[in-house]
Order: sequence, then C-alpha cells, then structure tokens
Amino acid sequence: MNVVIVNGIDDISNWEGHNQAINSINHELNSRGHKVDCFNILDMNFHYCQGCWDCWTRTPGKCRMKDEGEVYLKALKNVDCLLFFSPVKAGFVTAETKKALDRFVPNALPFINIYEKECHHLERYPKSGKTLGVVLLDDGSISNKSAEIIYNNFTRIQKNMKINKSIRFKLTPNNTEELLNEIINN
Amino acid sequence: MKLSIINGSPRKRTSNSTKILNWIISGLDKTEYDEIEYIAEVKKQDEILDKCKKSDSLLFCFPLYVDSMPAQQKLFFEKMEKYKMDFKGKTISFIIHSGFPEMIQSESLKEYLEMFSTDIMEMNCLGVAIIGGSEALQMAPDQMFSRQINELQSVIRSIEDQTKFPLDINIKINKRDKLTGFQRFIFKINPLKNFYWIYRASKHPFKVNLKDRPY
Ligand SMILES: Cc1cc2nc3c(=O)[nH]c(=O)nc-3n(C[C@H](O)[C@H](O)[C@H](O)COP(=O)(O)O)c2cc1C
Repeated sequence: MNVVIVNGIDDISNWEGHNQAINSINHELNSRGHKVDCFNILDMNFHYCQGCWDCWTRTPGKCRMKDEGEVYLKALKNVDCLLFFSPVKAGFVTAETKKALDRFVPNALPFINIYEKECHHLERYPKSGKTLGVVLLDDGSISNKSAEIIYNNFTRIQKNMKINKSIRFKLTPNNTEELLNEIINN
Repeated sequence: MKLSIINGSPRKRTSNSTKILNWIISGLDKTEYDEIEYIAEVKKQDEILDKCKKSDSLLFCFPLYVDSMPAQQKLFFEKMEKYKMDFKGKTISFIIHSGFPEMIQSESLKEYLEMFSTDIMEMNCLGVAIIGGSEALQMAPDQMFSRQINELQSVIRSIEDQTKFPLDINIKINKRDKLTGFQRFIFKINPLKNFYWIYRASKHPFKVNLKDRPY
C-alpha cells in the first residue's frame, strides 16, 4: 500500500517525542513492505496556496509555485492511505498542516458533480478504496470539543476528496503500535 | 468603537473577500475603522496583530479553503491565541464564503470559529455569516447579488450596534442549507456549469486540457 504521511509539526522542540513516534511509524510501515512518503512541511520549501487557479485553468494539475509541493502532489496521485499528523493549536490542526491540505487542490478537477446530494469536484486521478486519516498529537491538552470539530471537519474533507474510509486517532509517544494496526487493517 | 477589518483571502486585494468587505464598509456609518488589512501577506501578520490588539472589535472575511480557513488565516488565529489577554471580552465577527453554493459546506468552519472565539479566545462572537457561491462574484456584476447585499445590511447593523447577528441570517442569505432535489437535477443537466473554467482556460494563447494528468 502507498502511504503518505504529512507531518504538520510547527515547532520540533515541543514535539520531540511525538516526532520520533511519527518517524518510527514511517520506519515500521516501510519494513513491512509498504511504500511511505513522509513530508515534514516545516523542513520543506513549501509555499502557501495563492488561490490563483493556474492549477485548474493554465497548467492543469500543476501548481504555479516552483517548490517541493510538486513531489507532494506526485505522491498524492497514487496514495492509498493519506495521513495528516498534527498538533492542535488554537483548537485546530496547525497552519503547517493546513498549508498541505490547501495544496491538494491541483489534484481535483474544476468540474463539479453531485456527490452524496452535495456539490463536489471530480478527481483528476480517480482511485477507489482510499483512506484519509487525521492523527492528533496528544499532549493531554486537546479539548474534547476541539477534537470533535477537527474530526467533523475531516469528514467534510473526505467528501471533497471522495475518500470513504477514515482514521481518527490521538497519538501519544506510547501508542504507536495501536495506530500501526489501524493503518494496516484499514 | 474602533473596528479592525481583516481580509484573510490568499488573493488579497483582488479577492472576492475584498468585494464583500467593500459592501460592508459602504454601510458603516458610526464605526471608526482603519483600512482593510491583508493577512495573506504573512510577513505583516505581527504588525497587523498589534493593530488589532488596540481595537474594540474585529471583523474577518475569508473564503472556504478545503473545508476550513486558508492556512494563512489559521496562522493568524495561532498568533491571536498567544495574546489572548489582549482580546478577551472584545467582540469578533466573521463573514465566510464558499465556491460551492450550499451553506452546509461552511457549517463545520462556522462551528470552529464559534469555538475559537468563545472557548479559546474568550471573546464575544457577534456571529458568523455564510455566503454560498462566492466565486460567481468574479463573473457577474454586483446587481446579481443584490439579495445577499440586502441581507448583509443586518450584519452591518449588528456590527454598528455591537449586537449579535440575527439567528436566521444564514438562511436569509443562502435561502437554505442544502440544494433541493430539483436544484440538484437542474445542476446535473445544466450545460453551462463548467463554462467559467473553460472560459478562463480559453484566455491563454495556448491550448489547455483541463483534464490533463501531468504526473
Ligand atoms: C485552494 C482552494 C481551496 C478551496 N476549497 C473550497 C472548498 O473546500 N469548498 C468551497 O466551497 N470552495 C472552495 N474554494 C473556493 C473559494 O472558496 C472561492 O473561490 C472563493 O470565492 C474565493 O474567495 P477569495 O477571492 O476571497 O479568495 C477553494 C479555493 C481554493 C483556491
């Protein structure tokens, strides 16, 4: 299976243990024969989406930004399991995580159809059986309400990306095995 | 009463958010406000934050980006959280808008914004107004939006009087939460629904295949 990990940590010094946990998940999946692409957004040359629509009407499928976003888009094309790992800041996933979510758009087509009775875009690279996961990095301070709002929001994103399977998880440095099982058995 | 007006669109000055904010500003009469601030100029965020700390009330307008706020807007919220004490008890209001026509697309973001302002910032949230189908602002003259502009008058009044937005404001602006079966049917068979994208692509001097798969 092709796994894409987006690591949305915006301040490594505060998330050392969790960062290691993400790395070990990457490692473990690799050693079990899965192909993993891991994107630590903070360390990458990765710009914010500018909303220019070049990716839909000028250079379809390609972002105007000449940065490492291109590698990310290529990885998304074949993904089976797309996982966003994020601390919770101001009650939501970090701006680093959101940056990667926004840069997903070139992989959608501008064309709209009705999906689950709502308007949604067609996919540029249709593929069935995909999973979208949001893994919150848990330091004991995530309020239930924030977690619920983020999970609900990812349910919306899932509809927009036309992905039907989901993973919702709170990761502490001690429960990586549990998450690994969820990823593999999903 | 001093109001800070913040445009969260990555398209900054040429955005639909700017159009909407100009409708609002043109109705402000007794409120004192500075010029619109564009936080997608990320380097300016700290400076803008300092100005906001000195205001009594904040008004944000930004588009729906992959089901929530644009990342640049989220970064600004993170900065606000660090200076919570400077904002506590002040009023805050939001106008959010989406490319898709239905208001249900924005409801998850609305829920977040209410939680952020009330539970996290301990501010007084006057309301979150949702406008559906905002990409059409690029294509059609303002007159096409006269109904929405008209309903936004009550948002302007709330900001001026520092009172809550009317509870039914979003139903009034958007008419309803979801498309009706009939609207979905019309939508499915409407040959013009993709016109805007095809038209934009045709503006380039080279041929563009909108369904291209470059990777
Ligand atoms: C990266 C990106 C993501 C978007 N995601 C959504 C979305 O999830 N739902 C939606 O209804 N519209 C979405 N839109 C459409 C915008 O909300 C719409 O074009 C809006 O009018 C832009 O406003 P602005 O000019 O003020 O930036 C998205 C646009 C962009 C560029």
